[in-house]
Amino acid sequence: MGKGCKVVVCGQAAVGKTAILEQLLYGNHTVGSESNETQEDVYVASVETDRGVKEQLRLYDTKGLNDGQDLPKHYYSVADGFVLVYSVDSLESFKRVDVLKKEIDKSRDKKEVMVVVLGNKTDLRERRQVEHEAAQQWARGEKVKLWEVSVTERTSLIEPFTQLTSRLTQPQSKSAFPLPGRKSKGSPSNDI
Amino acid sequence: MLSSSTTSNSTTSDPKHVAMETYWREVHSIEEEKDGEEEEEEDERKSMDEVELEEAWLTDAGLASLVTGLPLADEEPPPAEVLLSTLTHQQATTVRKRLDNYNETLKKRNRQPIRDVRDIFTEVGHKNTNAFYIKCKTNVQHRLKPCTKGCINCLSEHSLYDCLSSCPLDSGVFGVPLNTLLEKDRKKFPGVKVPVVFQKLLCILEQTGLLTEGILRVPASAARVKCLRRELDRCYEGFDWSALRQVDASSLLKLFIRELPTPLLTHTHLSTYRIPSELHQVQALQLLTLLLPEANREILRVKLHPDIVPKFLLSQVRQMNQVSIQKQLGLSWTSRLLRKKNDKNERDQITELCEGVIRVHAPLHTKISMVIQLEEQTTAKDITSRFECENSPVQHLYEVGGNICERRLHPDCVLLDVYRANPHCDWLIKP
Repeated sequence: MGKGCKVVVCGQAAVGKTAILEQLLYGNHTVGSESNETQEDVYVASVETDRGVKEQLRLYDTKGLNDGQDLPKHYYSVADGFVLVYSVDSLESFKRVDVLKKEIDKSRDKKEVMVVVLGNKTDLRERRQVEHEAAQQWARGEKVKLWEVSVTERTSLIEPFTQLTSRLTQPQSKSAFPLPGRKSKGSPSNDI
Repeated sequence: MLSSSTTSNSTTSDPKHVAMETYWREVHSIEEEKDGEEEEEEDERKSMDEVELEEAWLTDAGLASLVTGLPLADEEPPPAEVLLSTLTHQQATTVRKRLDNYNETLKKRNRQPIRDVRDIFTEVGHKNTNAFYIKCKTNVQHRLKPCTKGCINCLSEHSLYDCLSSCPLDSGVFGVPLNTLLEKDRKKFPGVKVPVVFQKLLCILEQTGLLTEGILRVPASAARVKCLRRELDRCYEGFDWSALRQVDASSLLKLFIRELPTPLLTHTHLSTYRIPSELHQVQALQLLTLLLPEANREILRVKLHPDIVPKFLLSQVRQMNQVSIQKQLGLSWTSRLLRKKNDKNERDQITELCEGVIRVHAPLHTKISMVIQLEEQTTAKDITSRFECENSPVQHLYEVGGNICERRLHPDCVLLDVYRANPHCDWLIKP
């Protein structure tokens, strides 16, 4: 996959896309801190897959979508995978994820595209608008993995990204040439 | 009551606002003054016509004796009275009106114009040669600076020596008042606003001096400059400009400004150049520029670019690079397309950026690129701070490519200005 897989992180504005990435990569995000509106930031992360191999991931943090705005088309053609983010305290942001998922299916052509969905801000229990069970049911229907996460718990963020990377870098088929470099070496370490 | 007090507060509490108002008031008053001067001239022209008209009328009426006399007819009223007494009452009033008008306009016309200091000095100089000037047999007196004490010791030895040694017949270049130079140039190139010599020198600097390091800093050989100066003073029309080296041109340029009989910014408002507040400084400087004699102002306008030396040269270098890049691109259209494609792949530039938005690359960071909307006040420091981690070394923002090779930006550098000067550059963060 060249210089690492390209993963586009997108969703409604202010659902916590940047917060998730910063917490995942630096572990220094303070919940509730002031933030600037993202235009487009690119992060390079080294993620250890479940096969014990470190893989590079290029994470595109996109500008949050406001009402009536669509994700710019070029992201669909460039991305190998998507992380769709909504906030459990906003039904609207969840609907936006549904729209995005359908859009991805429409534009992906024959290309294999991995999609995972993150429901952020589970710490805001009393303001929850998107029920856990309803969301999971939707995910099953769309055949995507969905996790509910909170930026306050960094560990909740690691699993989705590990799985995403593992699936993205999975050898296409058994008949393909085996890649010796991909064999597990040394003790597994936790990079993120 | 309350509202009025708040509004007055809001206007006075903003010193910038107040300052701007005074500033524009000054600008208008300077402009009006200038218009006034022109009007006065017009008045004068009108009065000339009137005098002639009245004179013709009076002569036609057979009263030529009234107007042929001295301009100040008041001193000899009897003849007028005598003449008028022969006329009917109505005729007398008409003639008197005409006559009064004639005398009035004549007086106005003969009024002494407001005299310039320089006029007074030349006069005194002519009367009292020893005190103020050394009168050479050549016409050099206007090239020596009279000192207020009136002693010749204060004359600059250097210019005295040069005047006497090169002794041009009113055809010098250095140490000649701007107006004299301009008058001479206008005979050949009417409407010229900046002395031709000055233009030539600047032109040489712009054309050939941009790649020379320290072009305005490194002086040329003193002997050469002296020689060139003499040559120019002797006859600059026949001067061979193509043989001039860049450093010589820059030295001559500096010499020219230094040798002006009055400094370029003149002595008149010297005291006003020292003002503590920065805003006022800028405003005052602009107002003072309006007050400068036209010749000085024009030369200042042309010269101001090299005065902000690094900026001027930098922008020129940028322009040169831009042109050469365009040439390269124009030559191979296909390679341009290819390159663009490659660039895109290399940098993951997947979003085309809008106006005023830059993509900052930080290859050594986890966050390897960031798209940032530039505000009017965004500085390099603002950008680097967004990439800083707890224990990362000091990082700097670099301007790379476009019409420049690579330049480290000062932390306080306003990025929008850089962006405007070099819209196609890359922005890089590194130690």
